[in-house]
Amino acid sequence: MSREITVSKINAPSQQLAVTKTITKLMRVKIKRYNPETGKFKFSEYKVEVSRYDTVLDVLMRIIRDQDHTLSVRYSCRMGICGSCAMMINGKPRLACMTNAISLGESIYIEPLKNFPPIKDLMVDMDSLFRKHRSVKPWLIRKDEEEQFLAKKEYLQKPEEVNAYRIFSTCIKCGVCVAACPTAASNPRFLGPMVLAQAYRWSADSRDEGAKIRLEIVDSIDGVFGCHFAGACSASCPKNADPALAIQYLRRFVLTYKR
Amino acid sequence: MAESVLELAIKRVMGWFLPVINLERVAYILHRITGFYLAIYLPLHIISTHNSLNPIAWGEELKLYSSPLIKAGEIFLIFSIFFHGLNGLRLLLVEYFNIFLPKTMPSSLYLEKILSLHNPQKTVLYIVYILSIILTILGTLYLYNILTLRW
Repeated sequence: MSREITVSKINAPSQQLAVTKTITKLMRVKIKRYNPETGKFKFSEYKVEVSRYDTVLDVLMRIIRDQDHTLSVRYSCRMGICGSCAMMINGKPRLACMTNAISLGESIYIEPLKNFPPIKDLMVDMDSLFRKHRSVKPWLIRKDEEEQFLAKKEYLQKPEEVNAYRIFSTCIKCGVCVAACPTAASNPRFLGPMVLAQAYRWSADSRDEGAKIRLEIVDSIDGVFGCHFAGACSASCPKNADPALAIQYLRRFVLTYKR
Repeated sequence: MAESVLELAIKRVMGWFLPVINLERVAYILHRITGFYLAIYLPLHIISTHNSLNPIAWGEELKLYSSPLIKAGEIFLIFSIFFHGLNGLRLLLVEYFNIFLPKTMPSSLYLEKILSLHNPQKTVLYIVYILSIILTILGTLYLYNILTLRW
């Protein structure tokens, strides 16, 4: 179905570089939408002209602009920073803004993110994720609280101490890992890869003194021992934050921690 | 909208089945399926061998066992034993003894590979898959007397 459109034909060799060839493709977009009034899902189909550089989010925004303004999508930054536009694209959890549309084949099938209750169309309720995130105290805990808030000098760290948690701190809390996790699918109380990885990120910080409090929260079958290393969280993470590795370190931390 | 317990259970279990994201996830699901299979098989096996005391019931049972469905089930049983055992060993080594964790963490945020899904952890996973398939083939040949063991 792909065809080439030459924008302009210029014969001068110096200007040939400026000729832009845009390859577009007519793609079928099927969307599974949730209707909060009836509590049921329905399917909508659209046909969209997709260019080489379009992301799935661009395609969705074009559908809203040109074809169906009732479609609800949550997005903010369009560049993989905010983590709002996570959805199931062709069956796999991904960020819509980080997925190239034309490489998905002839058609795109979009569903709301798995393992979260839907609100409307492609939006899901992520309250449970943020509640769990808050429960592991994802902030710097110091024994001397007064000193922490009225600090006389900064906390120093060696480069190795920063490296210990650095890749886990790139997490954008988009919920893609939770949608990919099979344990989170069958156990809704499971804290989930993102929360456990953040628990490790703060516990592994050399400036932090609250590891014991966090380890007591994650030391349960719904916490770190609910994970059986399916690794789908790391495989689908849009920021390569590797939550599976963080959980492995966290488990070693729990098992070897001396009171 | 109230859902029954069974509906909820089916919905949750169906959440395991997504398109293949990575081989570790496939191993996770196979581990659970083979685990259920072994847990159902063992009591049935004990009940059925108890019937061997009664020759008439035992003869009827042997007739039942020659059906192709049971034969396929036997081969899957061999796979279940080897895969569940080997993958369990892998998980113990990876998850509880943590012998494959990287010694140092990278200083760059822009990694070429995801550490937990590459060597040496991936190698162990491949070994589990290949060994369990080879052992299943050998076990099947042994079951149908094509291959015999001499001690």
